[in-house]
Amino acid sequence: MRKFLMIALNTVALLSIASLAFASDAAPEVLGNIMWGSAIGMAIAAAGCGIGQGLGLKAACEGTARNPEASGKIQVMLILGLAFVESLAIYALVVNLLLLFANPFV
Amino acid sequence: MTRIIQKIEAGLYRRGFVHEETRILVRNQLALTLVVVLIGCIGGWAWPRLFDFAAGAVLASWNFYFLSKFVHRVLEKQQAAVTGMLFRFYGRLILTGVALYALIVMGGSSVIALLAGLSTVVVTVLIWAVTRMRGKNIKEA
Repeated sequence: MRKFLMIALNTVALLSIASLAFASDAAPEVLGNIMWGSAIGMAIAAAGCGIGQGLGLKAACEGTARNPEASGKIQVMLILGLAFVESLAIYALVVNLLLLFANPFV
Repeated sequence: MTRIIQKIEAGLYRRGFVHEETRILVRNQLALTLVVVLIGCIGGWAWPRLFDFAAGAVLASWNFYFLSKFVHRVLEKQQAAVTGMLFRFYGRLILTGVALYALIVMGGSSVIALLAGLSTVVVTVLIWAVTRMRGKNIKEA
């Protein structure tokens, strides 16, 4: 499974770089690759961050239910963790917006 | 400045931020944003990147405020936590995306300044951690 994943990822990477290298200016293939890249990148970032936040919250709720006295500490740590996770999603969003609308290489 | 910080804290308490540590975190973030916005309004005319920095800080604070408010409520009542978290996360992300699109594409904002503004949450957390560590040292001594 790992081997297959590595081959697939390498193929995608090589294909993306090849079209970019052969393009003299913004060719339709390059634009298509950029759109695919940003869409898939944002999907992975948002899904990963969403799942991470949900799991963090689940663990915090369970921790609070087991030990209500520690809810204050759990809450602060949870908020910090969620804020960092959300920042990651926002950074991914900025990178994707840049790729789509303000790409310096196209 | 102390009066403004106290006012912010009182306002947060009225809005349901009962837990002290969370209130301090949100208060610090809002105070930092206020300072950044003031600097942006004053210096932004000469150096427009300060406007972008302030816009990033406002976006980060907005996200942080609603995130903290939701977490506060969920841990008190524990109702539909994970579903609510996912819906709110995507809702905030979409709104942030629209705002960032408007700033980057329509407004031509500097991306580095925007990212610096968005990273003010990290600064707030660092300040909070440093003050906490200091407090601990004093108590232990």
